[in-house]
Amino acid sequence: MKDDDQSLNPIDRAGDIFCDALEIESVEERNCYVERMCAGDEAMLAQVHELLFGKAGADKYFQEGCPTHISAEDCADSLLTDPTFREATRALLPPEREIGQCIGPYRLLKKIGSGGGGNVYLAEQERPLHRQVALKVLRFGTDTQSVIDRFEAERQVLAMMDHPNIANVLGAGATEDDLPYFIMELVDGVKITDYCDSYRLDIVQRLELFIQVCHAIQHAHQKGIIHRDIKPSNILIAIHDGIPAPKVIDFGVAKTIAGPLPLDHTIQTMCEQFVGTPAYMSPEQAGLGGVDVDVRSDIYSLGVLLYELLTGKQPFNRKEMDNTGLEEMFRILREREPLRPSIRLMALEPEALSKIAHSRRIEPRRLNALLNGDLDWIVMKALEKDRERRYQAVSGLAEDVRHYLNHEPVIARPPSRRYRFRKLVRRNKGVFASVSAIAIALIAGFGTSSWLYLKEKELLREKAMLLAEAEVREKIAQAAVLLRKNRPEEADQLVGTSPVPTVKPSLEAAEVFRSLSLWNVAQGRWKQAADRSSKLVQANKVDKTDMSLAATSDLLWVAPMMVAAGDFENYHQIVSESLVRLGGTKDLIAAEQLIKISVIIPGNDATVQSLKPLAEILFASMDNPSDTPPKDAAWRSFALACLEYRMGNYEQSVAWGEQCLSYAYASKSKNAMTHLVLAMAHYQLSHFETAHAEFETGSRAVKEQFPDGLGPIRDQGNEESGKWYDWINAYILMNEADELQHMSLAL
Amino acid sequence: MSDITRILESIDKDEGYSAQDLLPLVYEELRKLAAARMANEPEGHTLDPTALVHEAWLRMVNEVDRSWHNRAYFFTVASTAMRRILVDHARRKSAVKHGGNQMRVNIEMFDLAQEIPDEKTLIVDEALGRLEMVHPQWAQIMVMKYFGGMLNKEIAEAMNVSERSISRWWICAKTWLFNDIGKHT
Repeated sequence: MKDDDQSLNPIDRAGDIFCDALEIESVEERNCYVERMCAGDEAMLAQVHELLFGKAGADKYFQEGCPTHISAEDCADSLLTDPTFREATRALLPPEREIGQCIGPYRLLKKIGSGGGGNVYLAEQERPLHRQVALKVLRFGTDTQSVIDRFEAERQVLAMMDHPNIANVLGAGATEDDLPYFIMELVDGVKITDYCDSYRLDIVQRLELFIQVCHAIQHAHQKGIIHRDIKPSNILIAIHDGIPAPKVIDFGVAKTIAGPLPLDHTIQTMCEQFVGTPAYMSPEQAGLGGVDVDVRSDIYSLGVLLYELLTGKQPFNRKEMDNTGLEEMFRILREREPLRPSIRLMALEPEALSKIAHSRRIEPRRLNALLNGDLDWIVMKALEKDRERRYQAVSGLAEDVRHYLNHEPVIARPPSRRYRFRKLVRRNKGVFASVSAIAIALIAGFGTSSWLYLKEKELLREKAMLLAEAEVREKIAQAAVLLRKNRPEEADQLVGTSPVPTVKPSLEAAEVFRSLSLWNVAQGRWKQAADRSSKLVQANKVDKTDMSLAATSDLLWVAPMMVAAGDFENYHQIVSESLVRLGGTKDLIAAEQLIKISVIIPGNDATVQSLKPLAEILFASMDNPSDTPPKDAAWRSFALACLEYRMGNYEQSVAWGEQCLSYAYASKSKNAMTHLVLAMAHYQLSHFETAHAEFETGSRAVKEQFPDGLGPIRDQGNEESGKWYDWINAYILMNEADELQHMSLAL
Repeated sequence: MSDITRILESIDKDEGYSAQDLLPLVYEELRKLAAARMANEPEGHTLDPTALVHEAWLRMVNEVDRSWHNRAYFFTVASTAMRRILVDHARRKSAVKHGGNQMRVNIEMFDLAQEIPDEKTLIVDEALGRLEMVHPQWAQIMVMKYFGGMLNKEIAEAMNVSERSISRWWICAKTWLFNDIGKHT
């Protein structure tokens, strides 16, 4: 470092001489060296001497580093109040644009907002028509061209929206410094939450506004457009002719920014990181980002909005969400159950609560009582982690709020204890699933370019499918309402003809198709009943891991009904699907019922073979008959009698049939079925007389039940008189036995 | 790639970003950290500024991106942030002390040669302001070491000079400051 470069500025040179001198131990030699280096420059000499003089003091003074330890409160406080900090964070937002500047054909008139990953300006367009618009410039525009391309792809769809409560997105482009911008219909309004609080709207008024918001979103869904970013700042209340009306802004923008590509999530993430909490994001969005988002994600966000309108709070503690990393935030969204609105209020400080109640013109205690019950369950149904348990269409949510306002019963219900328990058990599995999904996304990333190409082509098809699904979901929600109003015929007309693949698994859809199917049964419309029940089976695929009784309970009547309707194709498919799904069950009753529905008519070998493990556990359970209630033992023997018959083991079939009849459990339909199976087994064994007697007993019972053949089923039946579907089963067996009898007579 | 890494890299490649672009991100992270501490630690618990900066670094930059080079840039910026925070804090605290509504601190109770910590921070900051006019590089090193707790090696990396130069400049900077403080008090 030693140098004699005279061109160094004086202070550097003084510093150099000073440092070199420090290495010389002898004071005399050091002074000599300094004088020589300064070479008559008095000022320099003085400076170096001064430094040498201060060295020891300086060492001591700075020995311990900075002495100030700061408390966390002070640190956070300093940052928030410090103008430099505020200035600095402002730099995170897009560069300020000068008013009067032109972006594309638009002249900026005034900045009207910031956030949402960008600044929003009031802008004016001269040509082709003179109008004022809102112009939003995004901050993170690393991928400007693809944002614009995606917007163009979406544009036609967006243009189809025409709703007074939706602000249209008019266009997109790139600024000169290559940031994407959007042109939107100008809305002069304030954030919905702010509006409600500042005008102190009561709960009813808030719900009315919320319903209007739902209708706007529903309109978009009907056009196949998902908002994906519903939050208060995207829902403005504008006063139009003295009447407040919500306007939903930014439609389709989120998709355009995030894109359809699962791997291109960085931009969105970056925006959210600094825009605030992703509190309004649905659990499925809070994972792999943008993948597989459908209308039900919007329903979740609407649930968060409703939560906030009612309680003034977001479902998850905002402070906590703010102060945690993105990963943790996402984990909370995916896994933690929010408190019910009424409970959330109870947990508040009395002061905070009374403030919230005040802005809703109600006493704190009464607010709590008001939310407790229906409103709680409406919100919680919209906020279900599993989207299949949410409302399936926005109209369902809106209708339910309307029911509440009309003092009618609502669809939303508290979850059953059984469900809550299962959810607890299953929660951890989700984590594994999402990890493997990430792995897949990573692997998929290697072939990104070809995959992207395919993806583009798929988009159109996907859009059509989405549209159809949304439509069906919508109809199902309406049908649910009609059914509750006891107008099954209209409900049936509405959804009856929806093609099976468009029915997505959901509890609501299952409920609707179950009711419709049973209604058709009661009308004696077997074909229609079979058709609705195949949709029920589709809708029932909600819980693919449930191997218990609940999973087979619908099959128990769907299967015989399909056979009765002559829909053998669907029957066989349902049987084989059920066996794949439930074949491993260890539940004795499920096993028994599964066998029963699988052998109503002769099946193929594969079916019969895959029933063997089920038969074995039944068989084992029969070793100790005293442990088994007679009813269960009787049904198990019956199932085994049927199965042995289908396997061609007629003697065992007879043995099980006799055993079945020996139990102290008298169900007329079960007895009839058993006699008919016995009849067939005896025919096969050429015991014609016994066979004939059994047939007479069985068929007499069936004919008593159905004097005019299969017609409308008015009576559901009970244990003793026999369940209606068992009678159908008996009817089917009777026909088979009858044929067999004719054949053996012919021989 | 995280935002912070992106900026760090573009500083590296000289793509128009500067350390200034990083500052707000660092600020934000420090604020979050402080707020998190507030929730978890008993009241009055103090933070070690160096540890705070270090933790911010660990949190903001994911493991893959933690190259030595990036780290130096980051700490440079964080030091600046920390200086502002500490000085601002000290200023407000001493304003309260001298404001009269608090218990007055009897200065004579302390060894006069040794100012109370907040005042020392303010004094150093003031002198540092003067040094910035005279020799910005020395002042920079002072900020990094004194407020940011950076090691010579890190500073050398960030300023792209040898470690030996840093240790020499550090001696110059602190001696200059000490003398300057003596002249102004």
